[in-house]
Amino acid sequence: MLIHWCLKGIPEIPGWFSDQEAMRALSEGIPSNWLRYYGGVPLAASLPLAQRALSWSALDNHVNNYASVAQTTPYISLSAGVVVPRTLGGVSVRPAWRTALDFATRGGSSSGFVFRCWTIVSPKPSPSLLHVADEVRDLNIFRRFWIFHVEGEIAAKILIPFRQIEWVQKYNPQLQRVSIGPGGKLVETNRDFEHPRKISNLIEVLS
Amino acid sequence: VSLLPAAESWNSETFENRRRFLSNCVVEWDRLSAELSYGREEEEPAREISGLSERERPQIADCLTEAAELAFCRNLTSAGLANLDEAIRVLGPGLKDNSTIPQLAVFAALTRLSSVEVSVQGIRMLGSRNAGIEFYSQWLEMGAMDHVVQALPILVLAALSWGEKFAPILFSSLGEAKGESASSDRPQREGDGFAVRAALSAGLSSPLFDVLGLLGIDFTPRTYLRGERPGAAGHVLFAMERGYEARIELMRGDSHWQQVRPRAEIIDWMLLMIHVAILHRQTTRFLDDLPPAGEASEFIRSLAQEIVGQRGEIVDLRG
Repeated sequence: MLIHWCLKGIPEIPGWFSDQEAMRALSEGIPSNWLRYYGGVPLAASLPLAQRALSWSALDNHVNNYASVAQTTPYISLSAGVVVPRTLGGVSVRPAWRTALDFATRGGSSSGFVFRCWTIVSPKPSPSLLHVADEVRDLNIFRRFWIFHVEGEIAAKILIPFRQIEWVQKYNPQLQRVSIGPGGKLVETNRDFEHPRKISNLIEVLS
Repeated sequence: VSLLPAAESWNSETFENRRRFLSNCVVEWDRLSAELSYGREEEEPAREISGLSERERPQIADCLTEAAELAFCRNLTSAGLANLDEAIRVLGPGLKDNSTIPQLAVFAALTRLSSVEVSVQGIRMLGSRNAGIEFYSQWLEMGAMDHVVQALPILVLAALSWGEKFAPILFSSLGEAKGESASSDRPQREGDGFAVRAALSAGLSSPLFDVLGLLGIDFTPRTYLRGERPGAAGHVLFAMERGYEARIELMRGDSHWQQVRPRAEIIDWMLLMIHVAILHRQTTRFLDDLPPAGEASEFIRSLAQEIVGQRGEIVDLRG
């Protein structure tokens, strides 16, 4: 298993996701659209349903045919950046922040939020395993996901836990950073954030 | 007028926002990159020209290239050329990443911002219009010789677009690659010289050289002649144009197309380079019996005319 840093861009849509929801994500996590849709179902009943929603075909639809499953997809697209071949030779590097900002501002059309978080990925496909994200940008593993490869996606599942979200920043359509909420801070850091080094395989000596 | 028909359905506001987004990314790259790297622990590489690192410059050039592609698709040729000018300025100075040389050469040939010369020794670019970039790179500096093999057809097309007067020089020089003695005023170690000659020979056998018939060149790796028949070049061009039609059809079919967020290059730079070279070398008569393979190919041909119309004159940089 690997621990991967990612960025997540979410556009500001009044009535759906605004400053309040962005701040709430730091204490509740970033939900998938599946969780929003079935938000009224009691936890005990929704947990098995959520696990059953995860499958190869559900991931395929999420990545390659998002419009058809946008309301209920159990996956959460994260940006990790990607390297793609350039037709004139060499490679292009698409940094994660550019993709996240693109999605957050809908290509410079609206304000939006960028979150930094970490997730656990496996070097093998695991579309139906709840707690492991799928690095769909890796075409060595996920060969059906070439169409939107340039987005450099890692697909998390059901919920990004709030303890894995480090901060959120807000950008306007001109890509200027603006404050979130009444506090006036440009970077809202999460006081409940747990750094991934806590679970890495680097062990200090006893002292 | 050069307008990609598949781009006509783009919403104008979305298109303008997309162009502005890319422009803002370029202008504010340093700030955005720093802000959104907040929390990263590894040390950032040393900053260089204009505060940008070697790693970031090709990324900015990619943004500018995307902006140029969008502009070209909607008949904003001047704006697209200005984007390419800027990409050259970002990529060129103190170039260390040799893998970007073919991209630079094509952009330089399209914009006329720098001349492109190819010889048995290496590639040279000379600035024009009091701008552009100047550099010289020996083939050995491109790393593994496979890079030379891949880059050679692109570089030769870029060089040939500078007109008929340079072509014999280019080919007599490259012809040395096939000879036993590669005369050079920059002596190289015998082993290195052999490797370069072998790489150039391999590069010269690329199928892309078949297209040279459309540039009025009857070329085999040992000879250069003025050609009056395009020969098989028409088939090569048709195949390239069909491939381009298919690429556009594939891309316009996905959901991101309407968001003006194409998932791959919209412009076939090699195809554009060929048509620009044909115009500069005044061999358009060879296209009389070769209609465009479709509306996307017709757009590329129109775009080539627009570009040559705006940046057409040959600047003699050799004094």
